[in-house]
Amino acid sequence: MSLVDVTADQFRSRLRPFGISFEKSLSDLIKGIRSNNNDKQKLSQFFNDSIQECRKELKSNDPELKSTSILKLTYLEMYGFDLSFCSFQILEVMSSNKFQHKRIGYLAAIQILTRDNNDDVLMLMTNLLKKDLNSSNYLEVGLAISCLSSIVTKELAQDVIDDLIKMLTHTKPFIRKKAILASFKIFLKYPNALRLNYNRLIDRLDDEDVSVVSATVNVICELAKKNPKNYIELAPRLFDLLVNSNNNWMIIRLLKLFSSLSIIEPRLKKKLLPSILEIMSKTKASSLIYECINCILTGNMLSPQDSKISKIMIDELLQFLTTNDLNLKYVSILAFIKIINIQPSLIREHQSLIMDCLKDQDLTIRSKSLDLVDGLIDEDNVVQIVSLLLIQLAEETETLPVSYRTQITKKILSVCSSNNYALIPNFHWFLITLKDLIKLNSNDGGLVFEITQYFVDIGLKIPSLRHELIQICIELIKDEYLVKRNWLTNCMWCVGEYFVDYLNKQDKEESFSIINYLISDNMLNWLKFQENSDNILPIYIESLFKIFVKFINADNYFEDWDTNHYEELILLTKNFINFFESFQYSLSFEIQERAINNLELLKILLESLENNLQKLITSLSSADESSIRIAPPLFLTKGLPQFYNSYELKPIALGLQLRISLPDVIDFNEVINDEKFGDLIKLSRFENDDRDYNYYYDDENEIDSGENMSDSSNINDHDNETGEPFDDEVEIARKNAERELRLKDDPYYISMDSVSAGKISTKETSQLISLDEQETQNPKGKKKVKPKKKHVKKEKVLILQEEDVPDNESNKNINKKNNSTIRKQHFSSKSSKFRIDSSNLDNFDISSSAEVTANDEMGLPSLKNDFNGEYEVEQLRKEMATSYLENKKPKKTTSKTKKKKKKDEDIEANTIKAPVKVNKENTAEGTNGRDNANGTPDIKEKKKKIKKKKAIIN
Amino acid sequence: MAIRYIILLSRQGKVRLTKWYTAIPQKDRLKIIRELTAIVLSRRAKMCNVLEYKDSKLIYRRYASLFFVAGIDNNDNELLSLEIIHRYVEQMDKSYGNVCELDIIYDFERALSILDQLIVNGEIIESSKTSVLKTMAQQQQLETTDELDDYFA
Repeated sequence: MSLVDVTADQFRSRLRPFGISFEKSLSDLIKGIRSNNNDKQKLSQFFNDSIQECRKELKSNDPELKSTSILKLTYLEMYGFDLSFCSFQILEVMSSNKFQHKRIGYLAAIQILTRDNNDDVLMLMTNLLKKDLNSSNYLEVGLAISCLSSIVTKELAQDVIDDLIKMLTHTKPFIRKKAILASFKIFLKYPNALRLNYNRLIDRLDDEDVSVVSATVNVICELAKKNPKNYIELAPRLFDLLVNSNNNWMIIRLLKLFSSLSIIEPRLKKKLLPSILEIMSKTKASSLIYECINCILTGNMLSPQDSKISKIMIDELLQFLTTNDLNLKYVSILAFIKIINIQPSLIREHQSLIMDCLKDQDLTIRSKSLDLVDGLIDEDNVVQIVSLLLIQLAEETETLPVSYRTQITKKILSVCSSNNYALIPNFHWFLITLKDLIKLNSNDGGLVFEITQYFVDIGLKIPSLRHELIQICIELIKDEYLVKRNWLTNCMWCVGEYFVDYLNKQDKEESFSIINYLISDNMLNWLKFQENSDNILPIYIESLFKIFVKFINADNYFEDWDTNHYEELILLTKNFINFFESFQYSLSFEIQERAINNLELLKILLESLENNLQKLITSLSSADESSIRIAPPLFLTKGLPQFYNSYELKPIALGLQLRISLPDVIDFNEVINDEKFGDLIKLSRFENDDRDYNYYYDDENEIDSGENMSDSSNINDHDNETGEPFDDEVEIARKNAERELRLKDDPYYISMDSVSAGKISTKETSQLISLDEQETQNPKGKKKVKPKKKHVKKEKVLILQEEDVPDNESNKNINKKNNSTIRKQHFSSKSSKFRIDSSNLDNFDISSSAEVTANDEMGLPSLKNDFNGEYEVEQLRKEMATSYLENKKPKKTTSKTKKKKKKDEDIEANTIKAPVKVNKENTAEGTNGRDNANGTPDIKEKKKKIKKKKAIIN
Repeated sequence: MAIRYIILLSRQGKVRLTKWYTAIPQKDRLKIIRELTAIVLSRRAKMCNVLEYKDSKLIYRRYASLFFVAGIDNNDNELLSLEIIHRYVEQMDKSYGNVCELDIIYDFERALSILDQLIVNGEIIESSKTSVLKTMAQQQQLETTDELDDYFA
C-alpha cells in the first residue's frame, strides 16, 4: 500500500501514535481554556465548542482518537458539565486491548459514571469487569477493582463478588489490598456477601504483607462502626497486631477500631489501657498520640477515678496546646472538650491557657474553645470569662462574622443561666451584661428577643431584682435609636407584670411620665406601622392595661380622693380609652379582642369615676370642703386588681403539666355538666399563654368556686370571690390540688427563714387524688455569702427554683407497662423455631440496615426484594450461610443452645427482662471463651459444659 | 469512609483536580466546591488547617499556589489526613520531578493515577513511599510497550 492510496483519515490515524495529530489533544484543550480564562463568555463558548468536537470525535472508529476525546471529556468533567452522553463510548474505551486506552477508560468511568445512575451502562459493564478482574495482567485487575470500588450497585455487587473474593488471595499484595478495600463497598451494598466471605476476609489479618493487613484492619474498622459486637471475637488477634506492629497508619486504624469495640465491651479497657499508654510514651508522631488519647476518650475507657491516666493525657495535650502548630492546638481543644465532661477539675487548672485560646487569632480555634467554657466556668471566673467575650463582641464589631457573634452571645446566655443561675455572683452585673448584649446585637432581632426572654425569667425567679429589672426594661422601651425594638414584647410584659414592685420604690411623677410615654402618639404611630405589630401588640395592649390597673391602685394614690385626683384619673382613663380605641378595628383578631376587652372595662371605670366626681362636686357645694371624701369606686379598688394581683406567677419546669398524672377517677369520655361547662367558658378570659414560656397564667381565680373550699382549708382563703360553683367534684378536686401545688411555693406563705432551711413538709393532700407525686421541690435560697474578691461584688439573692414534680411511680409504671408489652411481643416472635438462625445472623440485620444507609449515601434507590423468586433465593442463601457458619463455629451454636435453654427457664419464671439478661450473658460468654484461649483456669468448667451440649446438637 | 473527597484548588479559586469517594449528585458537588473555595481561600496563613463544614471536616493545606482540600468524616483523625495529603504531594513530587501546578494541570491523568495508588475507597492503601512509584513505573512501561507493539504491528 503506497502513501498515495491512503485516505486522509487513515493517514492521520497513523501519525497519531507519534504525537502528530490534527485534532485537539488534551494539552491543546487545556491551553485553550487557559487562554480564554479572562473572558467568561469566550470561555463558555470554548467549552461548548470543545464538547461538540469531542462528540464528533467519539463517533469515529479510531480507538486512539476516541480515547483522547474521552480523556478530554474527563478533564472537562471537573468544570461540572453533564457528560452522560459519552457513557457508552467510555465503555468502549474501557474494553480496549491497549492498556493505555483501558486506563483512560477506567479513569473516565470513575470520574464520570459515578455521578449519575447509568443503569444501562452498568449492566453492560458487568461482563467487562468480570473479564478484567480475571485478567492475567495484574495492573488491569487493579484498574477493575478501583473502578468497582467507586461504582457499585447491588446487582453489580452480586454479580462480581465471587470474582472479587478470589482476588483476596491473589499473588500480588497490590491486588489483595485493593480487593479488600473494594470488598467493603460490596458488603455495604450486598450484606449477604459479608456473611459468606467473612472468614476469608478475616484470614487476611494474617497476611504476610503489612499493607494488606492494614487494609483488612481498615475494613474491619469501618464495619465495626456499624455493628461492633460482631467483631468482638477478633479482639485478641487485633490486640496482637496493635502491640507488635510498628506501622503508625495501621496502629491508628486499630485504635479507632478498639474505641468502637470498647464501648460495647468495657472489659477490654483493662488490657488495652496499658498498651495504649505505652504506645503513647514511645511514639513521637503527634497524630498517633492524638489518636491514643482519642481512643481512650471515645472508647469510654476513662472514668473519673483514673486521674493518673488523664494526667498523662492532659500533659501531652498541653504540649500540643503550647506549640505553634495550630492544628495541634485545635485537636488538643477537641480532646479537652471530651475530657472536661469526665474530669472538669483537671482542665480547670489550665484555665489561663484555654483563655488564651479564646483570644486566638484563628476563629476556628476560638469557636471550638467556646465549647470548653461550659466546663471551665465556675462562680469565681464567670465574670472574667464573660467580660472577655463581651469585650470581643464590643471591640471587634467589624471583623467578627455574625455567626461567631451569635455563638458568643448564646454561649454567654447559656453559661450564665446554667443550673438556675447558680454561677451568677451578682445579678446587677448580670442585668447590665444582658443589656450590653442587647445593644451589641441590636441588628439581630431574633437574638435580641432571645436575650429578653431572660428578663422574663429573672423577673419570675428573682423577686428582689424586679425593681431594677423594670428600670432597665423601661430604659430599653424608651430607646428609640434602635429601630427594630424586638425586645419590646418581653420588656413590656415584665413591666406590666411587676409594675407594683417598681411603683413602690419610684415616685409618682416618674411613673406617670412613663405611662404617658407608653400611650403617647409617638408610640402609637410607631406601633401601628411596625412590620411585626401583630406579634407585639397583643402583649403590648395587655401589659399596658396591667400597668394602668396597677398604677391607679398603687398605695400612694388612695389617699387624696379629691376633685383634682378624680379629674386627673378621668383624664388618664380617657387617654387610655383613646389609645385602645385606635385598635378596636384592628384586622388582627388577637389585637382587636384585647383592645375591646380592655376598652369596655375602662368605660365602666370611667362611668363610675365620673359619677363619683359628680357626687363629690355636689356634696362639695353643700358642705365643708376639707372634710368631704368620697371613696373611690369599688370597681377600681377591688374589681380590677383581682384580674391581675391575686396570684403571683411562678417558675414552672418545662413539661411539668404533662407529668402531673391524671387521677383514675376522671373519665374523659363522660360529659361534664353541660350547663356549667358553658358558664365556665363564658367566664374564662382569654389566656395570655400563647407565648413560648411555660408559665401558668393565673386566671383561675375566676373559675374558682367559693363553695367547695372546705376540703382545702390550707389554701387560699382570700379568693372566694367571683365565679360559679361547678358540681363536678373530681374536677374541683383536681383544680384544688393543682392550686395547692402552686401555693406551696407561694412566697406569701413561706418566710425567708424557712426557705433557706430547705424543704418544707409536704402539705396535707386532698383525699380524692393520690397526691404522692406532687411533692414539689421547694424553693431554695441560693446563698452566696463569700467574701468579695473581684470588682463585681457577690450578692446574696433569692432565686426561685422551678417547680417540678419528680418522676412519679405511676408514670414509671405506665412506661414500664408499655415497655414490657413491647418486649413481650418481641420476645415471643424471637423465640420461634428459627431462634438459632436469627441469632447466628446477627450481623445480617445490622448490615442490612447499613445497606440502606449506604444506598442513601450513594443516592441510589434501595433495591428491595419485591419479587418472590428473588426472596426465595435470598432465603436459601441465608440458610446456606447459617449452615456454613454452624459448621464453622460449633462453639458459638452451642452457646446459643445453652442460651436458649436458659431463656426457656426465664420464660417460665415469667420475667420480663429476660431478653436483656440473656443477651448480657451471651456477650459474657463470648469473652469468657476468649479468656479460655488465654488459659484462665476458672472458666474451664463452662467450656466443658459447652462441649457436652455440642455433642447433643451434632 | 475516611476521606470523602479531595479537591485541588488554585489560589485564584480554580479547580485543578477533583476526586470523589462518595457518590454525591453533580449539583451538590458543584455546591460543595463553590462553598469550600470561598471558605478555604479566605483563610489566612496563620490559621489551623482544620475546618468544620456541615457534617464533615475540611482538612486543607497549601503547597505553593495550590490548596489541597480533603473532606473527611467528623470522627476521623485530622492529623492523619494532613499526613495523607502530604504523602500525596510527596509522591507527586517524586513522580513528576519537582511538581508544580502546571504539571498537575497538563498531566492530570497521572495525578489521579497516583492518588488511585495511594487511596482506594477513601482509605489510605499504601503507606510505603516507594511502592506507589514502582506501580506507576510499571504502568508506564506497559503503556510504552503497548505503543511499541503498535509500531511493529
